[in-house]
Amino acid sequence: MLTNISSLSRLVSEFKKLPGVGERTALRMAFHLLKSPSNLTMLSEALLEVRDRTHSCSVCFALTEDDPCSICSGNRDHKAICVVENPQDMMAMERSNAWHGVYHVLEGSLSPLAGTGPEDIRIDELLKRVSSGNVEEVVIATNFTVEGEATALFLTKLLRQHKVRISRLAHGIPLGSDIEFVDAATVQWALQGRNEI
Amino acid sequence: MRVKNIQIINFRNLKSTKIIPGVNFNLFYGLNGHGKTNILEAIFLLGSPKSFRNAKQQELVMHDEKRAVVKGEIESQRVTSKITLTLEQAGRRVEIDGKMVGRASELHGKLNSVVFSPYDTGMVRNSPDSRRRYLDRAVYMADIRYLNCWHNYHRILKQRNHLLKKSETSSLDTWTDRLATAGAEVMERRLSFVSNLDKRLKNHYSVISDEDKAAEIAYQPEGIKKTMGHEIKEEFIELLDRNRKNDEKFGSTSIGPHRDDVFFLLDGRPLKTFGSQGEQKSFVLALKMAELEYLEDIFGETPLFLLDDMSSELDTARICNLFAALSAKNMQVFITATEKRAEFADSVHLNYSVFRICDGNPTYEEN
Repeated sequence: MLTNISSLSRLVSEFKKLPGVGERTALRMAFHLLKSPSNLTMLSEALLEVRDRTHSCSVCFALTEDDPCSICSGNRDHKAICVVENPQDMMAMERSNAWHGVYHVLEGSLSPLAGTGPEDIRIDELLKRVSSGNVEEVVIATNFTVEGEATALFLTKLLRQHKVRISRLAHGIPLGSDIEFVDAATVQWALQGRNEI
Repeated sequence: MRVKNIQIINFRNLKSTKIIPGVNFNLFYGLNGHGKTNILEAIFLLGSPKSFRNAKQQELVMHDEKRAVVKGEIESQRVTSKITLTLEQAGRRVEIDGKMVGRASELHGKLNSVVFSPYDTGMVRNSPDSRRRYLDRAVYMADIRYLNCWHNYHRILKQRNHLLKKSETSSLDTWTDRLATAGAEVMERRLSFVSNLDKRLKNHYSVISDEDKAAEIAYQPEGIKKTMGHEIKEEFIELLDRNRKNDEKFGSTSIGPHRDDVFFLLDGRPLKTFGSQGEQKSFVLALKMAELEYLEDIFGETPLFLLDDMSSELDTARICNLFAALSAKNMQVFITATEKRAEFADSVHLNYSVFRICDGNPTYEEN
């Protein structure tokens, strides 16, 4: 039946490309939108607007509508850069309200299997920012995955050639959790990275 | 640790089977191909993420059936829990006391079993690959952290090999460094496990074989002399750098824990070439006993012992020696054999239950 309505079928196919969306959810979303034409108009406008207005910041590669982004042009500590893999990670850091420096979004991590080498992510741009001389500290906040750790190590080796303080985000026991329920691997990390008080 | 009862549905040739085993020795006897080993396999799977027969998931489900279910009531640390294992095309699901378990590792240590089967004696003569598989599984049983570092190592290895194939070298040093860190952890854990096993091996070998030869298990990672994690890492990096040209040529990492072998020695000579068949079997059995005892030390409880195809693997003298050693432990043992032989029961000084298996159906026999 769906194949007879080619425009609807096209919409469902597009929805299905989205992460976490299967045939049933795609159909449900399509029919929900069809219930009211204004829904369709608003969604299509929103899609076009986000396409036309967002781009990455020319300084830190964060997602922004202005250039440079509000953080790069704002009243932040420009001597400290926090390096993250993608804009979502940066938003998570911002939610914490704990970072007063600026950011650098790598737009990925080193992964030969995925065909991502050092030249495919924003490493050169980071080094340029650091070598401009005003940067005193770089915090590496890549993910604690095999790829994120390799990226962190790669960056550390390059940054050592510059006069900056380099640090890695701490990892260990999540806030608000009982130690007894934390898995052995995490407890081991937490012990290795313990702080003197 | 004990299995109090087990229910097996659509598992290989077992349509619907329920067994209430005895607290100590349990013998399943019957003709070949009637499902004796399948029962052992089902018991093993209650506590382990993979079968000891290296079987694929779909081989475990009865032909033309959607899913196999194994339910068992097990006792560990004086607590009885119900484990339900569902095997389907999509994967395996585990429930403990009705609650779904997210990760296979949550099952770790709930029901430890040590298996001795024809698959194990084969590893003495087979390629290093089968000995490595044995070692990896055994280390994991004793050390849950091993799983994580093993996965890490193999993920990094894959990344590095991919890089070597493309001969892009700008980030190779980084991946080599990561590989060395993860590899050193794998080697360190294997080294400590093997030395713990080796300490116990000699004694078990002489008990089982009545021979006074010195049995030895040795793991020496190729090209590595140190035994401490950070020192191993330094050595391993040097080794990888020395092999770099060669590795680039072949597009893969030629050295490391993924290629290492474990050595079995009898009086200092390789068991593979100098040991008789009987010595090889006694050796592997002694190895399993050492493993059993090591697990006992770690968990404070004796694991199950699963002895598959007893009569074809061991002669009467060795079986009696083994049974005497196991009898001293007040533990649960599961045995499969083609026939019921009286002399075995005589060497057991504990509760002894016998089940005759015919077409996948067990019948309890009074003895």
